[in-house]
Amino acid sequence: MQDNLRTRMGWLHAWIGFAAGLLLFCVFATGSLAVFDTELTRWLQPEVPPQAAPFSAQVLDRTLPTVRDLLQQGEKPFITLPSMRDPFMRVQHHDGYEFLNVPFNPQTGEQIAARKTAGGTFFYDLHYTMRTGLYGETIIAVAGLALLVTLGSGIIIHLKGLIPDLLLLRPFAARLRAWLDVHVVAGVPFLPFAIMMAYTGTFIRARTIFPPVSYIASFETLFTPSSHSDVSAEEEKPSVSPLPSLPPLLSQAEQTLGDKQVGQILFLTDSMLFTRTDMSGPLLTREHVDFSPVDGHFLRHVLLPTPVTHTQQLMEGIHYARWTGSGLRWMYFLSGVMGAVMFASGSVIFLMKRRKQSGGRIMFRLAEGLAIGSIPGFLLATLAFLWANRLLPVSLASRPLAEVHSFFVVWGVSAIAGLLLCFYGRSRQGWKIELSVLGALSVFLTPLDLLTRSGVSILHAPTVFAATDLCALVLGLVSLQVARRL
Amino acid sequence: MMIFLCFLLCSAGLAMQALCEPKMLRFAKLQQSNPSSIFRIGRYACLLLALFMSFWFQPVTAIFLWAGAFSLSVLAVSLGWAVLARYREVSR
Repeated sequence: MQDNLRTRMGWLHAWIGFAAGLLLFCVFATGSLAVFDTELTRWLQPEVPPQAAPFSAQVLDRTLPTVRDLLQQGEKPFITLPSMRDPFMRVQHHDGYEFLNVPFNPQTGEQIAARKTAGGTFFYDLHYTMRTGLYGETIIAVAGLALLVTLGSGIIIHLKGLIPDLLLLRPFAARLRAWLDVHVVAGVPFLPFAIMMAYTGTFIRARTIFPPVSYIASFETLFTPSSHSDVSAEEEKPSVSPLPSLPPLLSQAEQTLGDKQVGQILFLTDSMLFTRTDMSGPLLTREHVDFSPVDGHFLRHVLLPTPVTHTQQLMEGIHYARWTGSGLRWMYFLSGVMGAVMFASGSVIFLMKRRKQSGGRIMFRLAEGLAIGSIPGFLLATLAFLWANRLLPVSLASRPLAEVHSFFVVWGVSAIAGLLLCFYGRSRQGWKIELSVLGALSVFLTPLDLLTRSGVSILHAPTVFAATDLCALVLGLVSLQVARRL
Repeated sequence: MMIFLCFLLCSAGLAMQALCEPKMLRFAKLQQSNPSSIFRIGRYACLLLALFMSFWFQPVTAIFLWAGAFSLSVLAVSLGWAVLARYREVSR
């Protein structure tokens, strides 16, 4: 009976794992990068120095012209105040996908002339929507459920050898044995993390699986022309009155939220929201104190204290990990990377086991081509995004969009190349070429960073620049080693 | 600091677990004998001590800290053991 259950779970684990695994690899990889989205944005703006002078609240008003400009364009700008993760003041707005930002010196209030970039939040958006809005969110939420099924069936399969095989890694054994060991070592110890992220992630996006309106109604609205488009762009632009001085309001908000507990100031046409920082604790409360944008008088204090909202806030706090220190955030990052390794190795094992019997079939070749496009291809695209950020001209119009296009073009090209090579029976060359290019791009990211950043010093203190370069170097060396061993 | 300490304790506990496991000893071509009682008790004691210290010093993040340190320790000990096994195989 037990063997029967294991066999059945093995089937479920393999097929659900492979079908959802290619997408989940991308989700884990982008999730790991999104843990350090603020730090990545700093790497992507090399004109902004690694360190900054302490924050002086008196200079907040110097950001107001930029805020007004954005309000007049119909955006909803907000100021992020300096924090442990980013010592600069930034005026940001959401362009529908990413948060675009303008950095300011926290002591003098001067605007820093930094390049425009999609920033680290590009990976955050990719992580939970795959850049396709609500439909992407739904697909990712379903993939989250598939992850829970895969993990559950995986536990049943490996239950027998869970303790004896926990530490067994034989990288120099036969290929299938070695990949199985990598899969188990990357999966079993990180199970608590994977289950926690799958559960909290699916919980946060539960409304996409269980929408408040029926699926049919939302499908119908997809084909209903929007009345919104009839309104001319001119009519939509609001008139913005001069904004009140911010330092006294910040001080008043801090009396309610606590000293240095304000993280963001959001500007709407009818109110200004002084919001609690996400770093204040595990509950992502987003508690805010509101003021009038006309004369700055106090409007309201908003906090949702019900048990249901507390549950939601706790789930978000645990999943986003914005309240943790850098040590715990590195743990999230490494655990996420191991989750990606688990799915990559699982996909490789799935293909290896079926190559002898079904290697010549079109469906097998398609599956392998997709795996090449999703695993090394996705990482190649990520590296292309970083290279594009440094190589595209600073004055280029729509620069953030050009970075994003570079990512998707490289991803598309590597997926097509992988598919073509697999259909011509040269899958091994496909893996080797993409892994080698990935290795080269990763290893040479450090020289690129050193050449394209002003005021660079090799012997500088550990910064976001050094950490990013070091991670890329490790990825490059691992990729080259895997390509060599194929 | 606490993360590092937790990681060290978990690594010590897992290394002792590896020394008590016949499959691991065979893999590294180490002599198989009855494991010392220090190892048998130590493998649990180190992990429990790490958990206790996490709760004592950082109660809010204790579970995350301990689970994360344990996971990374498994990775470190597995890699270390693989290198040891390879070294012993080559040097024979």
